[in-house]
Amino acid sequence: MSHDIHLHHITRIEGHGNIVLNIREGRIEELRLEIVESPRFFEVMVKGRHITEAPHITSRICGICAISHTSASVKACEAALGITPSETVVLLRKVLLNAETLQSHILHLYLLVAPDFFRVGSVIPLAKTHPDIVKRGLRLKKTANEICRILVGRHVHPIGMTIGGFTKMPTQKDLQEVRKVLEAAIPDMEETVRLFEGLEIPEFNRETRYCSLHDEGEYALYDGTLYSKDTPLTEVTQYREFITEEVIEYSTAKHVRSGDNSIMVGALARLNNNHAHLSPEAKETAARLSLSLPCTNPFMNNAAQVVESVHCIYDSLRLLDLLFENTPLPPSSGTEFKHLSGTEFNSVPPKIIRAGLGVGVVEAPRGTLYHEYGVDERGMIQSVNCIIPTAQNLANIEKDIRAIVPMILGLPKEEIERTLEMLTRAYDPCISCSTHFLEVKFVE
Amino acid sequence: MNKESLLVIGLGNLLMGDDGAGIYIIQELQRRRLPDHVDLIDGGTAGVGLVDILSSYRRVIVIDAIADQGSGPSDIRLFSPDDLILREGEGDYSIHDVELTSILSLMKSLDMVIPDITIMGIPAVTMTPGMGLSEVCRRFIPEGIALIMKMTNPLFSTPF
Repeated sequence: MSHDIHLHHITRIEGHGNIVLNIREGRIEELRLEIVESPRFFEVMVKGRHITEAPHITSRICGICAISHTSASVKACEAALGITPSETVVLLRKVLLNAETLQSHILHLYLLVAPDFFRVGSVIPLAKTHPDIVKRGLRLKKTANEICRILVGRHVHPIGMTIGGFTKMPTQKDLQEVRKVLEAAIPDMEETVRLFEGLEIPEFNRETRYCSLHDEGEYALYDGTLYSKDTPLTEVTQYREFITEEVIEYSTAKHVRSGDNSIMVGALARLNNNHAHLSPEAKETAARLSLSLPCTNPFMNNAAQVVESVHCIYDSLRLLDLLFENTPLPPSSGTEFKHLSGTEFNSVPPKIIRAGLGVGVVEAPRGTLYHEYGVDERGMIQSVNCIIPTAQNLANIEKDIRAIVPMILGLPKEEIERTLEMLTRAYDPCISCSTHFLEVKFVE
Repeated sequence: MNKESLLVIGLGNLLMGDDGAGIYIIQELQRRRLPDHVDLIDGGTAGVGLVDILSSYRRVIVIDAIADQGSGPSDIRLFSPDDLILREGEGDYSIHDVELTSILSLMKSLDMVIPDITIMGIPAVTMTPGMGLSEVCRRFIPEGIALIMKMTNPLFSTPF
């Protein structure tokens, strides 16, 4: 039996990718996951700029992962400059990262994954047949957008996040508003769990190396140590010992490995590594979705995203409690937190600028995100490295395809194509910003 | 947000050359005095987030970059979303960021009320990675700003 499968522009992923699969007599002769989106080369854009500009530039890389890129960027800048943000700033950043993780997962689950399960081509026919489901997804996305608007002034591209803190600190009233928005989302989140409880997930297991941040005290999204089961804990500054990048001829994105292994990052990898620190509600969700951890079925990354969405809501409520506990209530609402006002966060005083190298790592919705900047004594960025989650998953997706194809060869070609698309989509690849940076010169 | 307000929203990516033209215009407008009923939003690459934003207004001006595919950059063009879809189908020219048409399709499928939208297309030459506008595109920015100032002025009997 022979198949030539070209999935040109895999549908319903962010950006464009192709799968080229050539099967002869039951054997895979050729398999490539091609990335064809034009690279955005944002490394080149940051290089030569002043360090204070980096978070603002990187916030524009992606409309979905703007908080993650900005968080990794401010962390890298702070590490390079030797700035330690206050505990309150860190708590607020964690709330924002939770909000982004929630909105990104919800967008993927409702608009890109759900059409597979209802066997329709896209969210447009789904909106006609199941408008309530699509509207619920949009309401949950709005929850996250509202939190971003309240805390950093915008739905997208968080202009308020900056080195050291925020250009305008949120007030007590703002935090109360965030709490209301989160609490109002709980019924929709409950319905989301119910929806995904009933959906069938293909049976396919292949063990790989699951990589993520890890923290002994909490579910690590904002901070932690680099972790996978088979490697020693690695400080983020030593990330080059944890993963290596390699150029792939047919892709404008680099592939990433850990030792000789391909790796998986993202929701399922995080759950495998850190499930002990999930909120009780998220643990219960995992049980309801039959997600027993550790799990080696990549299709279950979708279930893992549901679990993390629940966690993000309840963890944010916990973080808000901490913010209220740690901060004396101002006499009237609307007053800025006393100990946060002032010039502390508004700009980086010139005297703080120094030469240095900084690494900032966070868990973006799709996996571990690395920013590294080297700056000179004037604060000008001389070297940049940025590794995004999708690049880390590409080699693993190819290995999954190699493993699953022999299992489904007897199916009609359309069904093979659909399964491979679903598998690729389960990783939630974001190719629009993933393309990493072959050495290219451009003239501004 | 106020349903009575007029929204002027710029779309595009500042890191993709002329694609950021709409954002540059919004940034310029933010430094000027506009009537109280006008809201300005730097929409960036908002994607599905546009559903929330658009559904909060009755009247919207979208500023976005337009890539001419034939005779090269000509003029700033004003048109409705219906024209946009039609013209895309005809292959006359296309808007770089097709998200707006997808977003409007989604809103229509959900029977959501779609605001009156006027799209202001800024001719774009380079939509490749890089910050800053091309010479050609930059020349259209003052005209775009002037047009928005006029369209948001209640003394002019435009649809706005």
